[in-house]
Amino acid sequence: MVEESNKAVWLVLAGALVFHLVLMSLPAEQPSGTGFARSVVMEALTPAERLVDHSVQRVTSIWNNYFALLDTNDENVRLRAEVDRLRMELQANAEAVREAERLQRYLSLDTPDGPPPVVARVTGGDPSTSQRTVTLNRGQSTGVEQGAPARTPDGIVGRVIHASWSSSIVQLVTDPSSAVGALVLESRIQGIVRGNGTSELTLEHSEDGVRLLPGQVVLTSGADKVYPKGLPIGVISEVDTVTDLVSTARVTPFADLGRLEEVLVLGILNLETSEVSGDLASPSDSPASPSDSPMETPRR
Amino acid sequence: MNSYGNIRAIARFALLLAAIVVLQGILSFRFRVFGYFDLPLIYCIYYGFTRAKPIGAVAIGTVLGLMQDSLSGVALGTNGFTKTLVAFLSATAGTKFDVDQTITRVIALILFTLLDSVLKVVLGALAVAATGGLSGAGLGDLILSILSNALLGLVLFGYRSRPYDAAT
Repeated sequence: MVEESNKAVWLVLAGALVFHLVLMSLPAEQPSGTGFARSVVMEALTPAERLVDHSVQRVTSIWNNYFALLDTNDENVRLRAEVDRLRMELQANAEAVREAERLQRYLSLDTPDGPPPVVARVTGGDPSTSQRTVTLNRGQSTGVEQGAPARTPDGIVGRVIHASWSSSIVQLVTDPSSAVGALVLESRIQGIVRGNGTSELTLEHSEDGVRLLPGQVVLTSGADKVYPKGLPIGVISEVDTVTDLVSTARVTPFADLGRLEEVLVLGILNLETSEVSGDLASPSDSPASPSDSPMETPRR
Repeated sequence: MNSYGNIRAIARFALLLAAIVVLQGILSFRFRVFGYFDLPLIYCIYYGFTRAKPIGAVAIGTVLGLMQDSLSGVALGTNGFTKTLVAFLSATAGTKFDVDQTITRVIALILFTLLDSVLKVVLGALAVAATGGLSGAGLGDLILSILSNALLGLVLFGYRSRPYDAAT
């Protein structure tokens, strides 16, 4: 083992640490806000991520459709192989039908005017293990922009924080640094819904004389200029604390953030028309489409 | 021929590092329990212990950390900083202590996982950008993360050390 001089080692370490500190302190001033280096790494790694994800799904499918069936097939080998092959085809078609049904729900959503929304598949999670982000297989080439909100038919998911040419990263609403302008449907209280690193969200408001109750539905208020007004966020599960200044409540998100498969990425909000046609912004607005009602039981 | 061999070795190594980061992202997404593991951190410690070359360890920590940052929402440089420091410290420890003992490895994995999380909190307090680290989920998740990394690290270290043990 070659001995390295102590001075060179400490210089290299100091240089590397200073380099990382400089990187962290650089503001994201590029037009896309994602940065060249991050875009390059995303473009280099996300295809591998998609490939591994696809392979895992194929292996799981083979396991569920072949090996798990061996015990039920103790007759002729040829008939068993034929039955297994037909079952795999049936399962593949059934999965395609389920996917088509899921995607059909996206098509039935009312979306704001502007760039058409993009349906993107979730291909991976956060490798840093400390934030709540997911990786999508769509990027700037298909109209996904940094800052764009993302949702499922059940409710909002988060917003795009980085977008490279062919992939993007969405910060989930459960992330501790996420904050969404919120509106309680029944009482019209305005507040902020924050992530706290768990599967539930925290609703904060400071309006006096108003009482939050479990079961009340929380929508986006549009005040954050990110999410269009009226999109479903979740339902109040528990009212936590009431102080002189701020009241808080726990909100269970409508979207199943632990089982995301596809999300709909909306266009950047038009600040002049922040309302969404057909959504549940207020009782006086145009009625919501039946497929977008938050009062339906969210799919889990 | 030597340069071709070097290029192949470097390419294989680069693929290995990319695979570690991609695998961490996929596994933590598909299986919730993997959210408590940190494969890049474990590899930084393993590299430091087995190679005991501080400069090389600094490079490995930098590359792994920056790749982690690029595929997540944290500020670029966050994991780069922590993984660089952890890799350096483990390489230094590899030159000074007997790191082949199980108890030494367990203690190192626990301490380095704790250091990684604490550094992220400190960096988050100093910087405006989000750095992750100890989130609202708090102490319970940190303890689970420490235990998970220690367990997985022991298993992987034991598996990968077999050629080294056989050679000595």
